[in-house]
Amino acid sequence: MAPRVELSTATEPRTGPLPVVVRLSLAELTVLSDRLGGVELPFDLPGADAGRDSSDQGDRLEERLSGGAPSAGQRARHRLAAALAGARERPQEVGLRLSELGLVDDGGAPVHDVVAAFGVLAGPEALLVLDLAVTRNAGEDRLRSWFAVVGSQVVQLSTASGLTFELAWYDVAHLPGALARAATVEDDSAGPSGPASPLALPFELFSDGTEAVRRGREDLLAELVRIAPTVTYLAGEEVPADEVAPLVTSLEQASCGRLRVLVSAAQPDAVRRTAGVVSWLRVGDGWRSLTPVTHDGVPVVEIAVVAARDLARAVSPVLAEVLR
Amino acid sequence: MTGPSGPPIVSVTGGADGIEANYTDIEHLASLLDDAGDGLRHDAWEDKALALNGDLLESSILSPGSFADAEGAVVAATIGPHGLAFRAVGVEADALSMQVSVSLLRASDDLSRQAMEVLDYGAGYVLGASLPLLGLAGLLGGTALILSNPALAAYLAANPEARDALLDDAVENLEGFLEDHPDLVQHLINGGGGLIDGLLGDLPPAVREALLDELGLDSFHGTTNDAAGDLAGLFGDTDISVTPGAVNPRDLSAPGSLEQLLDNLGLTNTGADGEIDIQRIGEGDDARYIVNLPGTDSWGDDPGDARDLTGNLQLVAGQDTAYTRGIMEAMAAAGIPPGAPVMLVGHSQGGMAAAHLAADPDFQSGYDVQHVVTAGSPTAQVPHVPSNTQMLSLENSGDLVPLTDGEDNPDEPNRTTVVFDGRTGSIGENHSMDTYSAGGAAVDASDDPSINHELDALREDSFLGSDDSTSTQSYTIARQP
Repeated sequence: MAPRVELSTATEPRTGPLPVVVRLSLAELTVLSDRLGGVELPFDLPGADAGRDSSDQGDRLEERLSGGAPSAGQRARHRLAAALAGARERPQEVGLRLSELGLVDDGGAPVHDVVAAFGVLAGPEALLVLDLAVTRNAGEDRLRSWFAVVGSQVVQLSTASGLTFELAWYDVAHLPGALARAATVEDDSAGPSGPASPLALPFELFSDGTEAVRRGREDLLAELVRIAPTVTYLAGEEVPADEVAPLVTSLEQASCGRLRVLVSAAQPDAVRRTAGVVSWLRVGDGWRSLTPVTHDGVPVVEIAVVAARDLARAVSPVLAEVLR
Repeated sequence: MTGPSGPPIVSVTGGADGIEANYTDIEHLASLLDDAGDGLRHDAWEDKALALNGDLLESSILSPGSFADAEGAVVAATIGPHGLAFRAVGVEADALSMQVSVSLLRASDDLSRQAMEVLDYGAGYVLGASLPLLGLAGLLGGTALILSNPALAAYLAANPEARDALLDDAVENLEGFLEDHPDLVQHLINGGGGLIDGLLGDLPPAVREALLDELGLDSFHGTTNDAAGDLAGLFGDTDISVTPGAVNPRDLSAPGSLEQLLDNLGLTNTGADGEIDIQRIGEGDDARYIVNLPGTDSWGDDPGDARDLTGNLQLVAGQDTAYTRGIMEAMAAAGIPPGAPVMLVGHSQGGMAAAHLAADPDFQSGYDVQHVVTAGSPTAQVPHVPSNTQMLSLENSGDLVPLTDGEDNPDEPNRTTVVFDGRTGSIGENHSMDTYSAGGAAVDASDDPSINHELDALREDSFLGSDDSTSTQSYTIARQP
């Protein structure tokens, strides 16, 4: 077993603080932001009149086109307007739950940790932005999660609907677990599992070949394989040319989502600013990492099976490149 | 300079000669090609039908030979291997490639724009607050005062020093907060279920998408083509140059301890961008070599080739093989003889490169790689280090970069991970060489058996505690434009 030793240079042993996780509505988040002097959140909070212009021409046109039923855009604006009205017209009511959660004191002011959490969110030293989209039951579900870091403190804000948020803050030691949780997708209806792993596919085939399959133009695949600039490898073995097209078809047909982590850190003095990207593809009921490499000057995508818990391992080398 | 009818024009974006216009041109061309391909295919089958033309068929009785020639010519020109139908597929494949290329360029531009927005957000530029700093240090002692002053709270969000001071206080208070509100505490690690399912609510996907759009979040879809768009700008492998010398030459002393070894790496780290040091200890057949590999800083930066749209942005994917190639080239240039004992010492990305080199059979066949020491480096992505190499990895528990969760590094007996608690108020300090030198001192002072075994091996192999003469050669690795 690999030795692992833990030392401490602190004068007193640290207890490992556990993550604080709280579920908040958009209204509650807005009230907290307002009570902190309108402190910045990592998304746009529409103005006070948001949603109230729903009778404008655009909406009326949408309504006519949809036969009188409200469109998705209209429903979204109505829900947003209701949430913001709750925050701006009944802040005391919204504040009651915040008080019950211990996020504001008796006077309604955010407690110390909440101030700090919003401060980290508004001005992090490093910021990871995770986007995830997955198709399940014929609909696409989406998650956005911000991981803001100052020192060894992480503040995570997540939403999948724009109405409900999860705010969490924890020590950086918990970040691998939090990333794994964000990448965990339950899917009982997953389809085929796709090709074996690892698969090294010329980038042109990855982009053009899968798009041809998506458009129902499998007839173009043979030509795309023929003109591809390099060969394909599966589990380290070269794939005969006539077996490549079925691999591309299998990959595209099993693909049902992706995730991306955008990694950045404050680099005020850098000549060139650097941001990192981790990109995974959802294939069947699992994840495949997408690694861009260059073989003899030719761009190749290495596609390998990974698990949600591997996300921190994928993000870590990117952080090393980005942090200067 | 002011023109005759107003101030000077310094920048023009978009318009008839803008990138978007060019993209549209390419898409239009692709559409024409696609139509041409359709036309060719249609023509091929129409022309092939000529072979079934009544007059031609009747001629077969009169002249079977010429009929066969005519039929062969029609088939060759239509559905043969070089015929219209074949060419149609080629043209349509080209059209598809052009359309995909434009979508990739658009996606790449979009990703770069989002990355720049995130970078700006991280820098606090979004807030633009400029409140005076007067009396802030005194105010920080009283939370109530902060909270009663919303402008101050906003100011804290925009000002790192003030925020750090507040954070230090917040960390101390965190445990008390947790005791008061145990219901808010959750174990994220190994917790059941994913984050997404708890946050979806009961709205249909289209309404959720519209809501996220209303909040200004960029659209994000799960197709393979969208994933390809993320990757398109990440193939950044470049040529490198390796030149001897350093801006300020260093003469590193033979390290007596792990702390001194890391101090030496810290000295290398203070050099100009792209500089590495190769330290020889001993002479002749007894010579061994310590290769100091700092984090890459902004090595070889050449903003000149950055696209206008994204300014000076570089997108990376943690796969920088150019640095590793430069290290190999520098070691060869330094004249390290084949089979010589070598120790690689790296910080951050330098440690990543060291671990990759140690795992590379070609590199191992050239040198006797006896030791690797990494500081603040992700090494878990290297699954196997040969048993002839001992790897010691130092990780500050407060350092964001190694992202250790206690079971991350591969389980191999020749890899020892030492986690020390050297937390400071900032990511940069948590990750700094000074902090890792302090961690090295803690390792030197430890009586842990695994650590003792590692340090004894370093001394037995004469990388630590040697009185032999030493010399240092520096090399600068740079990207070629």
